[in-house]
Amino acid sequence: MPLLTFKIQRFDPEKDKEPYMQEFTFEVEKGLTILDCLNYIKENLDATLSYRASCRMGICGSCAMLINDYPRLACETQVLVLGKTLIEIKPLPNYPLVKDLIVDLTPLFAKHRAVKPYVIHPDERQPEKEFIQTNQEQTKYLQFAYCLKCGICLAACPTVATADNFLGPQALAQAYRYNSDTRDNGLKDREKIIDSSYGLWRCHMAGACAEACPKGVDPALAIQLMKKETILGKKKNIAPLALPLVGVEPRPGIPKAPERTVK
Amino acid sequence: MRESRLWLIFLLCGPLLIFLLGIHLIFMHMNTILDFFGIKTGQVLAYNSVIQRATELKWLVLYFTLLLLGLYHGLYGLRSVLLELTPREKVVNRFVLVLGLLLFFSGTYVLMKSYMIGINPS
Amino acid sequence: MRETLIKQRYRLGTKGWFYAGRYGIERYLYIFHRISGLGIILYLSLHIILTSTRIFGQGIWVASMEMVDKPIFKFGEYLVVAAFIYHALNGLRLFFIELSFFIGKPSRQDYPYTTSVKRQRPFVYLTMIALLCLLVIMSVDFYFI
Ligand code: SF4
Ligand code: FES
Repeated sequence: MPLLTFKIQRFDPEKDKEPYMQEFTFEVEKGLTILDCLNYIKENLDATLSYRASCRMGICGSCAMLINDYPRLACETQVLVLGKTLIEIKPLPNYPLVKDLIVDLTPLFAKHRAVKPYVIHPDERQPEKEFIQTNQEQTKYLQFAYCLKCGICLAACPTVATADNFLGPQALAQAYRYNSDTRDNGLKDREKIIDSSYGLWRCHMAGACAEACPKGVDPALAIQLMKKETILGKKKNIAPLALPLVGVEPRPGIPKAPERTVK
Repeated sequence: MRESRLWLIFLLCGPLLIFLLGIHLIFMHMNTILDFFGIKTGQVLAYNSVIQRATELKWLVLYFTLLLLGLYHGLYGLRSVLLELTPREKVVNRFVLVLGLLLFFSGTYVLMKSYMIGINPS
Repeated sequence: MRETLIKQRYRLGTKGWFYAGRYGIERYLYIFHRISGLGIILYLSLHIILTSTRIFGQGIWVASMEMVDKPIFKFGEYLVVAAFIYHALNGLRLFFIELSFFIGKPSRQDYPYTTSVKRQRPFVYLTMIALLCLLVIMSVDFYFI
C-alpha cells in the first residue's frame, strides 16, 4: 500500500495567530477519497482536525477545499488518482476562514439569495394545476439546476479574488437557470440585479469556474448566454397550466384528497 | 445608463478599433512591409507631412474616430479593472470620466489647431 | 477586528488575478489581456500628449521626436505593438465568446463533463497561431527600420 504524506493547513482562531501546515504520513488503499483520509486522520492521528462534510457522495456541497492547489470536493477526489505522494490540503480561498479547513460560505449564500433563485409565477395567484414543460424546455436549464452551492467556482474566479460585491459565477448561473425556466416570469425582477456594475459584466471569461465545477454546471456558459440575452433581449414562452381533467371518475373506494392546508 | 448599454458600446468599439488602429499602425510604422508592396510612405514623422495630414479630411476623420473610440474602449476597460479593485463605484466613475474628457478635449484641440496651422502656415 | 483581518487575508487579492495555477489557459489569457490593455491605454495617454507638441511649431516637434528616438523608446514601442496585436486577437475571440458563439448549448451533463471553455478551445489555439505569425512579421519589420 502506498505511503502518502498529507500537508494540511491548521488554524484555530482561539490559539493561533497564523495558519500553519501540519504533516501526517500513513498508508492508503486504492479507492480512498480525500474525505476518507481526513476521517482517518481525525479518528486515529489528530482528533482536533476540523473540516466540514456530510453526504460523502458529492451531493451536499460541504466538503469543498483546495487540494493540491485546485479546488475540489474532498469526497469526490480519490487520493491515488491525484498521482502524487505529497498531498496539500488548504481551505477554499476567497472566503473568510473559520477554522482549519472550514470557511464561512455566508457570502456565497447571500449572493445566491440576491438573484431571487426561485420560480416567480406570472400572476400573483397560486397555480391550480401543474405547468406543462417539454423535455427540450427543461434541458435549457437542467444543467444549471445541478448546482450544489459548494462555492468552488467563487474560489476559482479571479474577479471574486478582489471584488467582494461581484455576484459571482454561482449566483449568475442560478439567475440564468430561473430565467430560462418556462414556469418562471421573473426576468424583469432579476434584470436589475444582474445588469448592474457588479453583475454580469464583471465576468471576463477566464473560464476557471466552468472547469473547476464538480457537477458540470458550467457557470461560464450560463453567464455568456445571459450576456447575449441581456443585449439582444430574451423571448420566452410561459408554460401553460395543465387543463383540468374532465370526465374522469375516481375508482370506487379511493378516498378524497384532504383539504388544502396552505392557502 | 444601464450597464449593458455601456458594455455594448465597449464591445462594438473593439473590432472597429482593430480595423482603424491597424491602418494607423501599418501606415505609421510598418514601412518595410509597405515598401515591399510598393507603397511609398516617405517620412511620415517629418513635421511637414504631419501638418499636411492634419488638413486632409480622411486623416482627420481617422484620427478623430480613433481618439473617440480608443478612449472609450480603453477607459471603460480601466473602469472595469478599478471597479474590481475597489467598491467605491462613484469615485471610479468620476475619475475615469474626468480623465476621458481631459484627454478627449486636448486631443480634439490639437487636431483643430494643427488643421489651422496646416491651412494657414504663418 | 480579528474577524476582518482574517477576511482580508483570505481573499486572494490581485494575486488571484496573476496566479492562474492549475486552471486552464484562458485564465492566463485573461491576465495578459488585462495587462496589455492597461499598457495600451497608458501608451495612448502619453501618445496624445507627445503628438500634441506639433502645435508649438516645427522646432519643438522635431526636438520631441528626437527625444523618443532612443533604443529604450523603440523597445517600448515594440512592446506596445506586440500588446496591441495580442489584445486585438484575443479580444476578437472574446467578442465572439461573450456573445456566446462557439461555446455550445446547455445540455444534459454526463461524466466526463464537457464545458463551454473546452468547446471554445480550438479557437484559442487558432488565436495563438495567428498571434505567432503576426508577431514574427512585426518583429521583422521592427528589425529593418
Ligand atoms: S456552480 Fe458548480 S462550483 Fe459553483 S457552487 Fe454550484 S456546484 Fe459548486
Ligand atoms: S461531503 Fe457532501 S459533497 Fe462532499
